[in-house]
Amino acid sequence: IFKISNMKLILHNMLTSAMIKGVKKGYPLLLRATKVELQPVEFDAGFVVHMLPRLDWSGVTAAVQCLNQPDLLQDPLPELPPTVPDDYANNEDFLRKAHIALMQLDVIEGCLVCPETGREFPIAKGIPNMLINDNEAA
Amino acid sequence: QQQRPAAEAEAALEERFVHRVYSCMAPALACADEGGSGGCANRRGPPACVRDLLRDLPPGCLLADLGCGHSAAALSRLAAARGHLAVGADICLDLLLAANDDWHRRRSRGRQRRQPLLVQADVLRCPLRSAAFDAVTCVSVVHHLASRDRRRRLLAEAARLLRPGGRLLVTAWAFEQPGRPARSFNCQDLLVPWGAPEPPQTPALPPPPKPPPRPAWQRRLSSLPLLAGLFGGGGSGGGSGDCQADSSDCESDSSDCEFRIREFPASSCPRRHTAGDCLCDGACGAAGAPASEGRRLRYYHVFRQGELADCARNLGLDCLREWHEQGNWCLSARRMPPSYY
Repeated sequence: IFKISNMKLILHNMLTSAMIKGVKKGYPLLLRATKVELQPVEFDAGFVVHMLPRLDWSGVTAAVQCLNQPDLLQDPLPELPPTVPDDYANNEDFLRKAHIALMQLDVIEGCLVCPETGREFPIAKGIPNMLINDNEAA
Repeated sequence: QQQRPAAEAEAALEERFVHRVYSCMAPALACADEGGSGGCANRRGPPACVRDLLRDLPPGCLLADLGCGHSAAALSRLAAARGHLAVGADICLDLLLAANDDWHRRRSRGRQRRQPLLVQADVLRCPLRSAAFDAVTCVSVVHHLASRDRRRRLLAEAARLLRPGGRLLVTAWAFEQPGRPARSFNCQDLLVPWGAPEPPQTPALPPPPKPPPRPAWQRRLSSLPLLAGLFGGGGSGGGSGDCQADSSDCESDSSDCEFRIREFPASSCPRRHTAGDCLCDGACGAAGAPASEGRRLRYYHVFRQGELADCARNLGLDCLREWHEQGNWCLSARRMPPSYY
């Protein structure tokens, strides 16, 4: 009965596996996507400007890099600089690329992986399942 | 090691009388009118205290909603109206899928473009980055946790997610209920029927194993704020005042509690809810729940005045305000900078 949605990279930016016992940082999670689509999402410059200081930019570039697989996406991936430019608030070109990465790249199928333990978290119906077993908990 | 069996029993209680119930009810919640019938807090979207928080925050904030349930899409839409972004986390996939369904319905009516961000997670083992959020909301969740320790763990997770100065909003069903005359439940730990209120058939659960009684000197010491945490937090269930006189009552609430069945007073739940009349968080099943649903019991620990703030002690949170809203206690707090704790 339920309709699905897809996981956006802005959500990936928030997620960590640090609740697992022994994990020191658990960030950024590796993104192993098997199906990705570029969705039309209206560009809102003000929204991107507000969100950028709250995001971990290295997580954004890492996630996009994970999607840089042959035949995964028909459209080209946005080219992101390694750091957020100082003039980001007025740099529309940069903001548009950031918007594509954060809001338009939909992960339809795949999983997230803890960078320290290799533990996989499946993404089902667009919702990442980050539940762990009792014996994995810190 | 002494804690282990109790901790498992608590988790098992929550599994049986919270998670399984919500999973079963998720399709009914998804099909309900816009705003949902699953709880009066959800009747017209998120409650007033959440709306106020979204308005108080400067535009463009990042918000985490712990235990978001099926109303995540509604919160997401309200947040987006102020330029905020909300991330919803819930243990129940069925509720999250119901939230998605809700978003699709809104989207097809042109009412919500931005998709809610949802993650399936245990809010006590929250997979969100520390100090990343401007605000955390936790609406009608903490009252479903079966021990003070677990309730504190939830608040500790909320504190962890907040950046210094970030705002926390927690709400929980109140022991003290409004009305003329004012009433309260007969016990703080309850199994409340969801559906047509009938006399309960299920026998009461056996009480959890009693911990050994603490010597008087330890109980007195534990009423001092500094040492409360050392002795497991008992003896501080009352208000912010002197706990000495109440220590035996507090202990009986937190450690000796029997999970009694309480038939919810049906007369206090008119079939047609009006704002301010609702007392039951939808437990009476009014406003759309089909009569054939049968009766499902949900576990609640209802909070006394001051108990939320007490639960939030020594977690790096500065409690700003506690107030009563439609049968719930609400707590607003601010994350203190690291040097304070």
